[in-house]
Amino acid sequence: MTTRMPGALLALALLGLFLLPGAALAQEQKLKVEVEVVLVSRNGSEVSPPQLQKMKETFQRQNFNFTSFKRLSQQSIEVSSKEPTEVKLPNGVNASLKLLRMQGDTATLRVDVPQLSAVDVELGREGAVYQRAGKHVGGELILVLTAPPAK
Amino acid sequence: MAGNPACERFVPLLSPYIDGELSPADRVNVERHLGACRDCAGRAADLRAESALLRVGLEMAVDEVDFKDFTQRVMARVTPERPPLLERLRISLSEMFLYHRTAMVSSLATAAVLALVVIPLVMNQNDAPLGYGADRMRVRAVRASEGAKVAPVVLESDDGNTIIWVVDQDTAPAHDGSATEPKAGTPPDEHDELDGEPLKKGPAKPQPPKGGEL
Amino acid sequence: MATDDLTLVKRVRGGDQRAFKLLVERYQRKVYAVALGMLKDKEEAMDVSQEAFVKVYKYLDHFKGDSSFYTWLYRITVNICIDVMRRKGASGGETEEFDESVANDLSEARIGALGSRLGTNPQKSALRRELAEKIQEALAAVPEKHRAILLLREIEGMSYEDLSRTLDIPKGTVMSRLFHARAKVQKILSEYLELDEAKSGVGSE
Repeated sequence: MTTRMPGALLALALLGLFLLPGAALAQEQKLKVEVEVVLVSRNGSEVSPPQLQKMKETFQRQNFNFTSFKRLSQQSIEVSSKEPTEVKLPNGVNASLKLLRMQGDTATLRVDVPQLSAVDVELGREGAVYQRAGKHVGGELILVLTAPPAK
Repeated sequence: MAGNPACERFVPLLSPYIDGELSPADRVNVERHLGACRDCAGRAADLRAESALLRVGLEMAVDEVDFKDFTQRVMARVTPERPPLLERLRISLSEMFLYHRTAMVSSLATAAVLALVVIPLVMNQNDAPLGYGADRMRVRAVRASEGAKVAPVVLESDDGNTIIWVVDQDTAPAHDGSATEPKAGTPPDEHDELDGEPLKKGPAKPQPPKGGEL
Repeated sequence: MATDDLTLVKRVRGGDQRAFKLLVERYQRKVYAVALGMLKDKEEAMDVSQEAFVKVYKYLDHFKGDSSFYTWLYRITVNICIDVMRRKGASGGETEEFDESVANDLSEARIGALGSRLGTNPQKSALRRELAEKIQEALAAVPEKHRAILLLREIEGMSYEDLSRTLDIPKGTVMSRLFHARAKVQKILSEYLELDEAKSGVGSE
């Protein structure tokens, strides 16, 4: 059924479908992400700011028993496909974020926390990714990745 | 119609009167009549009471309902429609190529038109920030950093959030973290399943992050 | 602070699901109240309310920004309700217009019965469940189209202009239907209160 000719045409059609946005994509791509650094520990029961309550619930649901959630920093950073963007953590570690690819309107990002883990995340409007980023003053640092607020 | 023959003319105006929908001239007339006619003043009061009663009564009935799941249920019915648009296009395209060789040229034309129409549409969606086309964040692949003796664990919760935990392989039992580790987490080794839904879980064992399923 | 409807609609069209969620949260109670007033049945009202939002989402591209979002939303809600009633074959009071006798009923009813008993602002706490149920019963006795107008007016506080746009009828019709619907509801409610008062009077003595 499928002969060689459709192969070529398929390629053409796919070109039509995917290269149009891809044309812009071939060059450097950039996009924004919200990155928070949160210190979680079992000292005290402070949740600050209160928005972190949601994070606490997520952790509790997964049977973590952290009681204190403190946001140490929050920034909106630009990540690009060319150079990784670094996020300095208070424990001296530099996490790096890089745009891996753009598929349609969905980007995939790699978040690398040296000595721990590298995660590929497909970005979406809802939800957060909480990535362990090492120990710090009696607790754990968590790198939080979320979508920037919609305009 | 007790006594006052003018009432006949004013009674139908009382309803728009209490709604504030009369012209200024009519309003003045109605108010003048209300000042003189106790029956109509009573009727206007009745209308106001009835209006408030309906509102409060319905509010009461609505208060009995728990709207907690309402939004979720609506969103669930509404969401699946959108993201797979490209996916569906891709499928229908590949089907076209498999089964309809003769019709292909015209299909191609359709595809071209679709491409022209759909892509700007899709691109315009970027009121949602650029790159955030999916409905939620999804972890596609996880690996341990090079040289690190750790095993990453992916904990995906149904609220759409994901926790990437890392367990130190060498020191797992000794570390201060014994209590901070998820009780649910299985010992971090080659067998990395936490619970069901293997497709959704990122593989926890070290592996090149390239191979996400897409 | 709150983003207005049209901005949210634009964002939904742009693919922002969260914006739609906000719209749902903004109107869910009122849409449900209208549906409940129309149908009387809680579960049906719930289904219809959800259906209304789903439909709105589906046809969002057909929504022209020239009318307000909520008139469109309520129009869809009312239409679904009417469909449901038609399907069940039970449309309280049928669709025939009121005849003048109803207007006369208004004058026959004990004037001031409601007003003097309830004041113009009855408190929720003082209102008994029984009475709330009676209200829904009274509504069921009103023909569906009149009922829709009355509900939209009381729940959403829609202006006659908006009512006329939502239901696609002239303003004069809005006015007369409202008047008749109110007369009918009032008759039922004041009879009920009268009866109730007589009963409790006997009881207390």
